[in-house]
Amino acid sequence: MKGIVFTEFLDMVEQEFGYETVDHIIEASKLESGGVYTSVGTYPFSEMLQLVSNLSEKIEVEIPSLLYAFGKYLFNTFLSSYPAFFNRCEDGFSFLDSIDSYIHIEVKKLYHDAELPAFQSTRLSESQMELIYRSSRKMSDFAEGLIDKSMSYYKHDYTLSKELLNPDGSEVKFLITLK
Amino acid sequence: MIDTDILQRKLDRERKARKQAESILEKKALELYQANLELKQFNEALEIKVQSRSEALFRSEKKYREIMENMRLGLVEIDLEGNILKTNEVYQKMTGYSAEELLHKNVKTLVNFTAFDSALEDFKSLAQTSIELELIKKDGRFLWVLISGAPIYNESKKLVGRIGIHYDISEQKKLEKALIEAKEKAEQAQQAEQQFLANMSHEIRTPLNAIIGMSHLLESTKLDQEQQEYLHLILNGANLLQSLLSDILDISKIDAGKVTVVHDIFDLTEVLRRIKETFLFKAREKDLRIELSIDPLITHQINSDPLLLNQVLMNLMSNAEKFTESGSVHLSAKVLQKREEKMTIQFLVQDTGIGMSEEQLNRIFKRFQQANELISRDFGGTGLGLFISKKILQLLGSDIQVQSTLGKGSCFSFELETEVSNLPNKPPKGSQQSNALVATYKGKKVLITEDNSMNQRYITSLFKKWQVSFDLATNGLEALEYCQQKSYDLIFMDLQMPIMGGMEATEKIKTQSINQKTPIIALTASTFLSQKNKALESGMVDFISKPFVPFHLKKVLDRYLVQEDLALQTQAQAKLQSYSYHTELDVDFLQEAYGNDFESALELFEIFIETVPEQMSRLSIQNETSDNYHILHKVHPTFKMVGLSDLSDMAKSLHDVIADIPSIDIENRIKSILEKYHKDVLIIESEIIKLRTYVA
Ligand code: HEM
Repeated sequence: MKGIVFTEFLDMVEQEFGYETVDHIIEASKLESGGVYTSVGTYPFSEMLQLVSNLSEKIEVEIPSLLYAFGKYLFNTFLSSYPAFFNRCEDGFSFLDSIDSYIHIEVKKLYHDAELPAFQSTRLSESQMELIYRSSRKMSDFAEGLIDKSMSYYKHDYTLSKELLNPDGSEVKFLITLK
Repeated sequence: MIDTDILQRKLDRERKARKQAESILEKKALELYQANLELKQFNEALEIKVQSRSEALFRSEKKYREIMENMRLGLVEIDLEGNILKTNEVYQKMTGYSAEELLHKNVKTLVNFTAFDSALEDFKSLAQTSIELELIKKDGRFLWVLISGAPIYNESKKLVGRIGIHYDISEQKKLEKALIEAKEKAEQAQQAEQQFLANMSHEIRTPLNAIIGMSHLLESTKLDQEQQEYLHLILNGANLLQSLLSDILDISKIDAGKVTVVHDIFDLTEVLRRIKETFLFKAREKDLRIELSIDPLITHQINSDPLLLNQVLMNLMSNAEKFTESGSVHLSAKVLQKREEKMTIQFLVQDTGIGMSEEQLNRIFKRFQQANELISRDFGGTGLGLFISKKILQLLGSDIQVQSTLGKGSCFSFELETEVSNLPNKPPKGSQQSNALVATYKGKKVLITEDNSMNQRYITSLFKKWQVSFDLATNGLEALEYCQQKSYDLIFMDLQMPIMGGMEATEKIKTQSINQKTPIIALTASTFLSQKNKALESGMVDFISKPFVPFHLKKVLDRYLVQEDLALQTQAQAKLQSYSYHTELDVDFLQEAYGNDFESALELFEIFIETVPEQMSRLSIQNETSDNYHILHKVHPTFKMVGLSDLSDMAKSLHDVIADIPSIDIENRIKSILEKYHKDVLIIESEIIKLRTYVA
């Protein structure tokens, strides 16, 4: 997993709970990297899992909620670092359309070792969009946070429902409906 | 409060992370440097490639340009409106303008062709087209070019203009023009030839007309035997000359393409029956059966050219009849194939005559060649009949076949594909009865327009004889003057006359006289159909071809003068119950033979007048006895058929003894036969006219 995800995650933890918590979850894990992350580096995804579950234990919050919150947090980072990705779209649906067809492609170009999910988007009607998430990393909660932030960024009034297509969470269907 | 250990660890981690990042970045920088290096090399390679490519492109462009220049192809690029964007040197030379002068000029101003807009339209709709146009050069001269156009598209595949490739075809055009001129000259020459033929036919026919006409007049004067014989030699020669002339003219008409197929719907069975009747009559002279078989599948009228078909069948039949002394001539029409509206009919003319050898067969369809000279001497004719038939059949899309065995007979055949109409054939004519008045020209006025003095005398003396009152004009202008003063019932008009010709006079009479409705009959020596058509176009209703016999003239008088009278007197008609033959004729025989079927009588009388005079004109004291024997053999039964029983007996008795009596006796008897014949033939002629009006 790309270093930026780690640094951002730890930034978020530091911001919310202080560096002690950061230090705690690092010290509590057995990390190959020793907890040293730089945004340009690449680290094992398992380290992320350890960090997240340690945090969950420490602050007594479920992992899904943590990932959801991280998604929301990371959105802001994306927004300030890559404004171009947002400017080229006029509404939420077309932005979500562009994850798979454009954004993640550009990401892959930048970090050729990036591990990215697949998003399959279908417009069911003027006001409804189906977005199917597929990834062995099972981070649909993280995606949900990003989706929510995206939709409210484009100032939509909407509802979001979520359905597991595969019980292990590697395949998830989101249904976004405009009000 | 944060633990100092924790702070120490944070510091540690951050330092390490920075180092890690630095080394990653350094590695990346190295990678980048190397990538750049590679890129530079790629770039250089690419540049070299691009250069060599564009050199190649330049070279090939140059090559094509050279080819174009060498082939002297003019190039012009225009926008959609036709404004010039670019030209090459050749195009500049072609037009005589410089590149600068041409720029933004519209190509439409450079071509001498109004259809150019539509051509431009074609180019707009991507079609690649080539057109031949004349360019207008700067100096005002023209240049023929072949232009081939291709569309020009921009990067987004939008049509933005076209390119025109010009090829100088002025040489070809010159050649073409020369060829057309040569062709026109040849056609003119051919026309001149035809004109010559037409004139010749006029030149020959006019005196021939006079000869035949005057001979007929002479016949009715008092002649001693010797004079009569001489007269008949003259008639004999004139008649032969006439048939020769008409054969030659037929051939030249066919050669000139003047004979055209005119389709009409007609009853084939009627045509065939009429042909049979004609030859039945001829065959009475010898021991010859004329047989006709018609396929019962021919139930409806067909669409073909009845006149041409009739001519071919008549030719074949008269050939068969000519060469068959005994046995039969069999005419048959058989359906080979019938599909709804189409039918293929096979016509066969089979005889049991003298037949032909292989070598003769090869020659019979050639011009002016008969199977052998002996035959031609024996049976007369120009030998053109079969050739004419073959040519006519070709026009009808058919060809003639012949099978023949020497001494056994011949069989001529052809197949004709025709359309079948939905009109059923007419039932064979029964004896229809009608009543009519005897012809009378009383109270009728006729104008004769004729410049030839011999013909004038011929016609006027006939009219006097028939008690027709007439005026005589010697040219068109005189005729017009007469027509402005007097009204006529009928006008005869020669076509070729000095001062004012017949056509012009007719047109003027039709518009500027009191005779606008009077029927005008053309007198023409021209056998060309076109001449006759012109006559009809100018307002004439009918024509008589020169030379004509009194009978022809009388036919026309009857048609235009008598029938009208009859229509006015239908009441008088009803009273007349029966027809009475001339008392000089064998009335008993005629009544027995034809009963009330006066139509059949008329047909036989007409056939008689068409065939017998020719045969009788060959009867001569100077002939070999055997020749006279043959003629008498042929004619004596035909005399009987028209009620000339005395004449028939005279001929028969001479025929029976001719080989056994002294020549001085033969001489005397022939003389008296001819003398009687010439009187009798006039009776037959007037009888025909009476019968015609009666039957009509
Ligand atoms: C400007 C916009 C975005 C950028 C620059 C971006 C970039 C990235 C990067 C760098 C990663 C990490 C890949 C790795 O570590 O190998 C990632 C992962 C991910 N992105 Fe995005 N992303 C963007 C928008 C979104 C949005 C709108 C969604 C929401 C649906 C999304 C869903 C995810 C998910 C779910 C992952 C986690 C990997 C996985 O689940 O397999 N991304 N993205």
